[in-house]
Amino acid sequence: MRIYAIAVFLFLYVPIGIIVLFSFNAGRHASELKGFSIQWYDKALSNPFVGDAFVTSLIVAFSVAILSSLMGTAAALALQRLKGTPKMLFDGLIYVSVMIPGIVIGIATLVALVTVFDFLNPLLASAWPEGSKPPKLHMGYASVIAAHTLFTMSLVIILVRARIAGMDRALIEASMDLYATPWRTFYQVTLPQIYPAILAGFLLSFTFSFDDFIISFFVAGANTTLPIYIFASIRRGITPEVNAIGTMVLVASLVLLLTAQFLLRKRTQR
Amino acid sequence: MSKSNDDKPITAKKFMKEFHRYQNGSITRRHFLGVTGLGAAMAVMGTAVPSLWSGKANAFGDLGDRLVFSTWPNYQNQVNLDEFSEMTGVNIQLNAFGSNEEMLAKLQAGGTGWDVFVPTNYTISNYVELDLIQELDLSRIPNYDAAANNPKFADPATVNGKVYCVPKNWGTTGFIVNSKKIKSSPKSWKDFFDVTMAAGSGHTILHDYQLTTIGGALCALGYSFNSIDAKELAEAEALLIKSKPHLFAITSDYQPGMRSTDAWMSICWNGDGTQLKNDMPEMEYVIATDGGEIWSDFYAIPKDAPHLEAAYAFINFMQDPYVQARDAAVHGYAPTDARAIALQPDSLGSDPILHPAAELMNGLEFGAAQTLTDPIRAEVMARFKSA
Amino acid sequence: MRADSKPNRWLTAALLAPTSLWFLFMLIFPLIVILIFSFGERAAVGGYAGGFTLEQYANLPSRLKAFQNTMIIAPAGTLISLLVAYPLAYYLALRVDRRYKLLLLVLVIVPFWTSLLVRTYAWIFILGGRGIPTLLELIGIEGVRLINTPGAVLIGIVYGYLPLMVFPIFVSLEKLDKTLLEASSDLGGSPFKTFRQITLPLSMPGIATGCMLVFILLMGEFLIPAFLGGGKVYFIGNALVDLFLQSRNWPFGAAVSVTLVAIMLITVSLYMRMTMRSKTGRDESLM
Repeated sequence: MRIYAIAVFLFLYVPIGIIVLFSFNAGRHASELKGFSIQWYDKALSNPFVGDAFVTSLIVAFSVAILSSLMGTAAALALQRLKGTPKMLFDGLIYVSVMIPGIVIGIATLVALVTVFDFLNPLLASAWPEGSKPPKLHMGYASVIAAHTLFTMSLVIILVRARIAGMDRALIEASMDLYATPWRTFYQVTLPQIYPAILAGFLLSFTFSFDDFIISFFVAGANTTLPIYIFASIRRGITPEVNAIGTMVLVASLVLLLTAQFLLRKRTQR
Repeated sequence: MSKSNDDKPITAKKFMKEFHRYQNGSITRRHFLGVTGLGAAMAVMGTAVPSLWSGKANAFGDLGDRLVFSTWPNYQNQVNLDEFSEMTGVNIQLNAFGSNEEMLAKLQAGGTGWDVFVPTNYTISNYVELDLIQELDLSRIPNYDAAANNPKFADPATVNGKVYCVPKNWGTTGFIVNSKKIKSSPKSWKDFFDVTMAAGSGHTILHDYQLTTIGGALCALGYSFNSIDAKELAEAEALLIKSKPHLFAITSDYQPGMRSTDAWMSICWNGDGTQLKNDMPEMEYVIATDGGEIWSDFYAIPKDAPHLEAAYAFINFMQDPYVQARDAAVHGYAPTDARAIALQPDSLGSDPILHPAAELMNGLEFGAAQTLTDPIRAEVMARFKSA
Repeated sequence: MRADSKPNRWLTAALLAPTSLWFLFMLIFPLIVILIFSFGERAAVGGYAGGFTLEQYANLPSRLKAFQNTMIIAPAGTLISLLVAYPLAYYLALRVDRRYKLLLLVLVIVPFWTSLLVRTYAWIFILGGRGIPTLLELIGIEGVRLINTPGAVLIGIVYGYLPLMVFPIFVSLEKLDKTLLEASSDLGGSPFKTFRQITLPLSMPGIATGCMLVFILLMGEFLIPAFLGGGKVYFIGNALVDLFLQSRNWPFGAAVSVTLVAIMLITVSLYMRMTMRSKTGRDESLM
């Protein structure tokens, strides 16, 4: 059994090792190793398009994670009060939005938005005063964030609901019986209990959004996220720059994880 | 950096010769800069215009610091792009596309963020009709010399009397064969498909590009490369689907597969043929005896290009004869500009890949505008891919 | 809870408002547009032209192969991921010393944080002519081709989604009461019997969740077949990208999307009904 586990870990890490190894390749082609060099890190770090893509991905992922955890938690709390048809309707929508493949979300959003923009842009242009340039609606941050949030919001709802289901009801009722305001009950009793689920939802949403390619590919417009940049790099003939970017993302997330772990441990020790 | 012939310390030919040596790695950058006088020239310019190397506001005006350039795989000399960035402070993001249809689809969906892209001759009238590209202000591209360009290749740039783009290169579409692996030396598209389904089974690449892939199949059946006849296309589709189990891949970026010798044969553009042959002498580029494509590519600016100033500066830079020759030295495609051709080594004049025999050239067709939007061709290609 | 008083109803509505707006504009509206488009015609230059025709749906059989590929490789990939993941999750949950458990679990998840694109790219290289086939030639096995085959796509799939499978199974096994296992073996149950009668049924929620997650992602997969299938192993996702980004046939693309959504709804509903019948909690199976 242990040998099996080692084999699976090898399977998981050999490709990553190769990515890291080739990021230090002195040669131009990703297919042959030609000595050690950190030039590709230098190239990637000084390339403003990589920086742009990284910042775009961060902005999108953070917005998605914040929106999803706020709206998802609110909805999950409200849903436990809902009964009958409205509840079934919401359950159905949550279920459908988790289940629809990302590629369909991307395409449907693209098609719908292009249609809406084609309809609204001439109206805006004609309503706009002569001389000044009318605004033009187009794909961008808003469309990617909105499309990602559809999926991640439902994810948060599911997580938080599961947590609420396992929650100790007696505590809430006790709090209410003690005449605490609903807000206070929420803040002091409910929130601490569902907090792990919200945090998990936040992290999952962030990860999903940061790594998503297919939805962004259709609806990001001129905004290049990191996965879109990497996809374009691979298509134009990969250089070790992509390996360097991949390695840096990996190291950054490891550092974040270890820091979080460290802080959590420190807090629990106190 | 406008270079005219009279302030050059060495002749143009010698410059390009040194440049080839530099590229082969037989001389160093320092030697190259020294011999060609470029080093001295740069030093002088550097002191005369101190801001020139500082990146931002300089002799080129404020161009911003970004340019998005969408082109084809293996179709530029990185040295040119780096030099442009170094001189102007404009960083270039390169996107590579494998078909004109993909470029069109992106532009039609809107919001590409592209500043300059490289369409092929037959697509330009479509782009104009769809209002997707800008009319060019030629006064902002002084390096472009209309008179020096071969009208056979440059003419598609002009639609309804307006100029929408300037020429990049011209070339042919044939196929490449790894002669170590395939001994029968196929000469025609018919041979190409026969070999694919026999001795070369599992090792052929077709393009992810309807024009060349369907065109090749049409030629193999004795039809026009450009056919949009439903019956002929149905036959071509049958041939493609029959050959599909014998393919290695369907991709327009076929160099990696050919280089790793996973693939032995591929539809190929002539310059890529030269690139492959330079590194692997066993590679043979073939212009098929039963037809094929002759084409020219252009630099164009999309309607909503976000960095217009940089786009013009870039196109102007790329039109410089030296820059063109330097580009061609790497990607192997012939310039359409006589000034650039004059700078190329004499040996290229007799190069069979660049200048095939006249009787072979006669069989080649320029792509036809209607193939770009023809629904049957689009659907045939899509069906073949999902077959 | 005193749920039906008036201010509470307003609060409920307010809490649900943003989510409802999202469902309306980002889910229902786009799906309706796609549905309408699927009955339209392709415009002369590509894109969409209005009209009402069933032509697009009649053309669906021309993508049969893509549907078949997806419907075979997605479940197969899910199953293989499960078979690879289960022993690992079992080992991590029940056999590993507590001290290393978290570390090893993190090690399973870490690959997930490098871009899927980059990880899949690494496999192009490993499976390509200069990777494993060259190694095999060294030991005398020649002419092996891996890249651009269904096998390569399956490897990419298992590699890409293994952590998603390991994690929920680990969680359900972790919750398992170890005294049950001990009791079973004390009562003379063979290890196999213990596994079949206790461990496996109790880990079903995790299996159900993992399988569903992976299956849903695979049905819409585009990247892995695009990179490791070389245009030869074609999923519905690839057909869709092609229809929108090459042949620019929006109405047909819409029809294919609608069909894909319908297939998903049917298979996942059946699946959920099945897993629910096997007495696993609903919320748990969803997660």
